[in-house]
Amino acid sequence: MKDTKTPRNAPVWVKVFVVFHLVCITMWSLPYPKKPYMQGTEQLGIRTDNARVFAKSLSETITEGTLYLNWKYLKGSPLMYYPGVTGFWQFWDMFSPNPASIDLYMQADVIYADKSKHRFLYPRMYTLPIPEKYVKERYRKFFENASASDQSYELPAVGQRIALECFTDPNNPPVSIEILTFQDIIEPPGTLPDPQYKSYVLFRYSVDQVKLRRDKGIAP
Amino acid sequence: MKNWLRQVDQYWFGQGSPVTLGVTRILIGFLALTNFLMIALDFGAWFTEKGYVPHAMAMRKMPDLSGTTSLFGQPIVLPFEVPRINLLGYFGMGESYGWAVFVYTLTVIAAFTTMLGLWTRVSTILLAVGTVSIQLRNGFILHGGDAVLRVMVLYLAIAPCGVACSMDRLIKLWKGKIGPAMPTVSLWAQRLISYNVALVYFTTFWHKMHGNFWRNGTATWYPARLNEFDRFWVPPFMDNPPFIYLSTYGTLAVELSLGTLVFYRPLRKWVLIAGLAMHGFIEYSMNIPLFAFLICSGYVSFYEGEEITEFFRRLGKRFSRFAVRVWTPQNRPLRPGPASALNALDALALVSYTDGDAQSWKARDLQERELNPLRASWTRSLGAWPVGWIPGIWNKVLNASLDEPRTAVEPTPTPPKKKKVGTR
Repeated sequence: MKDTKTPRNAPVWVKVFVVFHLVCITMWSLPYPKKPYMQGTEQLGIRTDNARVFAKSLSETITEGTLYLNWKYLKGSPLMYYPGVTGFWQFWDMFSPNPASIDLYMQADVIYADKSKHRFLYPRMYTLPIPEKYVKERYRKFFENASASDQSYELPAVGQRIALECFTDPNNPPVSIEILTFQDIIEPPGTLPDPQYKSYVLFRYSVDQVKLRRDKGIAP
Repeated sequence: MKNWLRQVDQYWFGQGSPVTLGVTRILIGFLALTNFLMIALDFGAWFTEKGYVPHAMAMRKMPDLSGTTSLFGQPIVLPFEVPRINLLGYFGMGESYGWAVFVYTLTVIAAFTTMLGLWTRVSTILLAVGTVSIQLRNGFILHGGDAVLRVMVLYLAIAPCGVACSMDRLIKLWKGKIGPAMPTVSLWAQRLISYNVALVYFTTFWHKMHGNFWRNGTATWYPARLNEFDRFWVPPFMDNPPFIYLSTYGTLAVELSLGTLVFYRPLRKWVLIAGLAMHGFIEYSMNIPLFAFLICSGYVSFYEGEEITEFFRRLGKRFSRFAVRVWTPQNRPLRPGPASALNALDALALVSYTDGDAQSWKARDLQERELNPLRASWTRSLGAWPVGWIPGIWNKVLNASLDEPRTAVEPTPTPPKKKKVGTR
């Protein structure tokens, strides 16, 4: 008797895994819905005032409705453990929703035990030669993240590291660090450029002397 | 409907050439190696307790996953937080300088062996686990390129990416354990890569549609003015209206196409060329290390392995004026296994090996000019490039591929067969 069964391309468990994987990474990658929908202050719905309003509300309902359902029922579901645990988590928001419009870099004032002051120059991409800035770009990214208000818990560690880098004389250790941020807000097209960087003290840190000496390899 | 399902099944799980996965592995392995070597220059600053990010800060930035989730609106509370795969996260391992150096070094080695396709399964798994762990150890320094790298090495770890274009294959060919014909594999891993690359573009397009600057056409005005991203000189007209409107809406169009139209075969080539042009310009004008190279490596996955093999054959024909014939020493033909391995190294099919009658190796080009046989053969064999330049290596490879010397022996006459005399 002729065998009419077509051979399987892959085992069933592989197919199940692939479908599961696609759902999980898509769920994780989709943007969040707009805030008013998340907060419930605005409702989705189709309006029929005129053709334009209808088209806009229809498109909004489909796109934002999809994002809302994804956020409400999938993003917070146990599905999140798969990408979160394995490393497949992903969120592709490069230059979005709007590209950064603030140019910023960091410096620090280091105050030593003898009250002297020294300006610490954290690597600034703009001033580095092109090959070096390619390798050192992580410094820019690091400060961009560390200076964000929701990640300011990181700033004491930045201060401590700067103190370590500036600790050259065991008799005159850095005692205090002032992290300075320099910002230039990019004005929209059509306005006159204002390349003036404004600076302010982002964080003041009293150096942990015990850790400083330990990290330097000097007995406290 | 049944027919459509069969087509979907065939697309996702059908059998095909593993060459695409092999090429992707080489590209991603190389970029992972470059990336980790670049970061290694500041290892102390990024991955140690004395650095900018002590372990406690790293764990705060990338904590374990919350034990609270919900299913269809019903809360589920686990009595613990869910840990991530992380060799530098638990039991004090993230605070140990020696362990961090060990994991980092192992990951660098794994990137190198992944690129070569040596012990591929183990190498890719180590690279994947190492990459995830290193990224979790310091989430403050990560950009989009790191996310691409992480996702790609994870795919390599679950894909049969060592079946083609790998040292593993060459070793098996050399030992005669497999034949020269390229085996086929189920293409689901390759499809996952291409889906994920498309997902990157589709969702980034969607994110951008939530931004005013992208909608009003002025988005590219801003990054062009960020001095910290500055790289090579760009003509001023490209950073000003009306070009910024063109580049803003052009970026959106290209990204949406890369997320959708790229799967439509007649448009595939043009969509990918547009993507290469977009990333090429970003790479030229902005200082975002390796991102363009990493994401564009994923473009390979939109091509079937057979198409890539054919592309190299066509490329070989275009360069056929560089073709050479290489003669083995007298009475020392190539053994079948090594001959297959040497042919597999020659992706452009520019070298043909023949039994020779001189005392040593000989090589001639199409104009019958005498060439250095070692240099002529390794420089034309694409697969030999990673190691062929090392003095003495290629000489050893060629000589090891030869059969034992055959001594000229008078053929012994075979005795005439006795005729059976049958009885009737």
